[in-house]
Amino acid sequence: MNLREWIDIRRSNGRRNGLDYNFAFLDDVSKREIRRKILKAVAIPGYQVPFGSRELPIARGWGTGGLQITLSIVLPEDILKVIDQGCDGSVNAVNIKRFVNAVTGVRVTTDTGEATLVQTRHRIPEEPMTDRQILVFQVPYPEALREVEPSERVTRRMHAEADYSRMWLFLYEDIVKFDEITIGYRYPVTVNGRYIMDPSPIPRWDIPRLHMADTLFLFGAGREKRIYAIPPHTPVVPLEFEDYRFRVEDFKGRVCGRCGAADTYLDEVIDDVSGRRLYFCSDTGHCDKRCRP
Amino acid sequence: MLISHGEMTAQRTFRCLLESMSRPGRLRTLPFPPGDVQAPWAALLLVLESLLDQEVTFAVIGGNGSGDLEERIAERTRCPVAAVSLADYIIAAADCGPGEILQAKRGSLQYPDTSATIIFPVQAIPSQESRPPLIVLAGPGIRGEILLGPIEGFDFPQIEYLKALNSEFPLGVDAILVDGGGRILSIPRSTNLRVRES
Amino acid sequence: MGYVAVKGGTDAIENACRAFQLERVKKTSTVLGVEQIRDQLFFLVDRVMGEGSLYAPDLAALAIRQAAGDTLEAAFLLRAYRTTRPRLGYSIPRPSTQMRIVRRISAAFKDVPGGQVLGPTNDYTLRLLNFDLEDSPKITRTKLLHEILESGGSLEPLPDTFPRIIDILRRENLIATPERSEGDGKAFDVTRDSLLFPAPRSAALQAMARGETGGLLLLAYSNMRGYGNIHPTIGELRVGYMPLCIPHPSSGKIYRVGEVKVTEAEILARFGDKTDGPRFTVGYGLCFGHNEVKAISMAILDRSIQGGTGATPSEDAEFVLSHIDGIESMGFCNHWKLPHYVDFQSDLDRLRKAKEIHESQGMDRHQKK
Repeated sequence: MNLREWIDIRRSNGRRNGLDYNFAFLDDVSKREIRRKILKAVAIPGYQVPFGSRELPIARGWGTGGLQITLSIVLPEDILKVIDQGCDGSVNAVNIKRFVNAVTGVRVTTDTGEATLVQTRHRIPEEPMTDRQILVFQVPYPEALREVEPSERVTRRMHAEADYSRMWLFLYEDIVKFDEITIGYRYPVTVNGRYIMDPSPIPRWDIPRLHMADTLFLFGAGREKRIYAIPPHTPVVPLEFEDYRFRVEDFKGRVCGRCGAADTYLDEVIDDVSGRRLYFCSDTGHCDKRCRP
Repeated sequence: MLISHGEMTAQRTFRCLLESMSRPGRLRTLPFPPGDVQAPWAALLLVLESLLDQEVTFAVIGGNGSGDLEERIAERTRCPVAAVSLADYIIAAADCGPGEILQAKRGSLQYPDTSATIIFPVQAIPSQESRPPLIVLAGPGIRGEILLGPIEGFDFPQIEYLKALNSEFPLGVDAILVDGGGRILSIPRSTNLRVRES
Repeated sequence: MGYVAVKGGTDAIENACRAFQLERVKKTSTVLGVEQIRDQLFFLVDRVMGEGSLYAPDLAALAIRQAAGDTLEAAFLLRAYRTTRPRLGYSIPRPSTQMRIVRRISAAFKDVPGGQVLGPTNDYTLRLLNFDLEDSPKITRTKLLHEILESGGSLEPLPDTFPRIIDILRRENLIATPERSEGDGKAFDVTRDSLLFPAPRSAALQAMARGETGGLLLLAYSNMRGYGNIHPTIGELRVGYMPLCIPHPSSGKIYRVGEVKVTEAEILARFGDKTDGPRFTVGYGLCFGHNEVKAISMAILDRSIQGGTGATPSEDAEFVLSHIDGIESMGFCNHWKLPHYVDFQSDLDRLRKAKEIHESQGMDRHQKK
């Protein structure tokens, strides 16, 4: 049989585009494995569970981990919001939304309050999330200790023994050099007093939102093949020293040039005409809502 | 897109399990397909179907009242049976021997997730406010404390065995209680569990 | 300029996809046929099948056309398609003595039982760029066949089976017994389970069989040049068709349902002091299609990660196996093009703060003078 005949036969069987999808794309075996791993992740807050991450039509490094979690939990009645750097319209967010909508039919929204399931790359929405919602994070580097140790075998042992001395030393050396901890995004946190966890490249601004939250947080790293979780009402504490405390970004009293908010994480934009700096809310959905009369 | 009925039920059931494990001690109701609630072991099988397959193993302890439970689970899920000390999923029926669950694997320090999950089929999980509250749960997923009344099929010795299994966090097992009425309640190893003197 | 419009995103993406498709068809050349790619760019098709981990020459050709020749993208298309296919069963392993040989050579001996079968190879060609643009296929095919058949030498049929050189050496007690890995002999499945370290050998071989040719070559080359000490000799290199055999789902009777072209390499490494008495150790490589560089590199790496101390990258199993998957590495490399402005903003804040501190400390020192 040649290729043309094979394609024609599949078309006449009513298969769309030569493919037949399960609900949410993933096959049953894959879904069950991810489900089992998600439950273990929730039971051991902050611990990275290895999983057999599947290949998807979206490239590795572009959110396949978060996507596999979303696809394993999504229901037709969910309302999905997808953001990238806080923005609903950004390239990555739009592509992922298209894909999930194509394989589930779920309604999508840009309104955090309306969403039941939010998948995010590198930000937590400004509006407080509730216990009716789940936030799924896309994670490029699941291992907080990778900064001090390239080998997975070694970092696994460090987590097993709660031997985090090298991480603390790394922070101490920062202070010696710069009189400050210079980590911006991916600021390491301790979860439930046990595991040091990488919160994904969210800014420090968002770290306090992880602590004792009402919402379930799920983290998926597709390429590195790890899932981890923070259940609601769980202590999440950034690593700090008594005399060098954790601090969020300082916008020096600036406000959003669009909605006037003084309490949101701001994107700095260079005006190409005057060269001066403009500031706008990174969370575009929130900014939109504030702008509506 | 071809969606099978069974597929949707499994997805809904899992969502219910996820909510349950994230908020231990809170009762959730499983999504039953119409007409299935009365069938024996229906709730238990619903939970197992969404999680078990050929890639993992299970064991049944107790359950001698309905001797074919192991067969029914194997048939529905095609999950292979293993010894209790090796099984990924253990169904611990109310009549299992004292301390039998202590054989469950607790994972390793490097891979605590490789431990067993124990599912306790029980008669009826009492709602939160029943008297007297004797089981106290606290920890991740729980705001403050949750108080539960005694649960038939999950008695105090069993609670002590579970505590013993989970005494060296992160080693331990994660428990899911399933009652005949299709309600579930989860107790992950991260939960602080104690019995209050009445 | 002002605020970036949120709503432009979808249109921009759709136009970008269209513009890419337009790139391929905007000129006046005849559209490439899938059959042409499959038949004439066979090394490319074989490479993509291997890295895509799906034996399907027509689909690989289709992917190559869709990806405009980008091998990483084409392999990615195959991998993504593979994920949607249900797993029907498992074929039964067959020894490579059952291979229908196309090419079979050994560098270890001048002549070997069965002979040195050179097969179709460009190893001996002079790399002179050929400027003949049009060569009528019928004439070339006929002419070449005529030349092959008319050339000197006898035309004996090939033997049905060629003994493996390694087996001969093993019978003479010159090959170290391989270490039996833990487990029940079941092969690991890297497409189902996450690779953890130390990795069983079946997992390592699978990961390499799916690995990107250039990446494997880089690491093997580093070993050959001295960042490692394998000092390989090719015991045997085979290219040919392995029978694909599956058991009938009910009766269990074994049926041959087709054949799969593979390249297999076995290298002999210098004996070290780890073996039981002085013996050669073996490195093994196998991949889909005709891809000799990949099979040889794989065999060298198989040996180096099994026997190495981890002192150099090619001897460190975690290093090798974590970095050879083309789909993972390509995806992550490309992901840097995604917006990172929120992350960068956080970095800017840190830098500005650090500068403030630095400057204020500078001023303090200045004042103290």
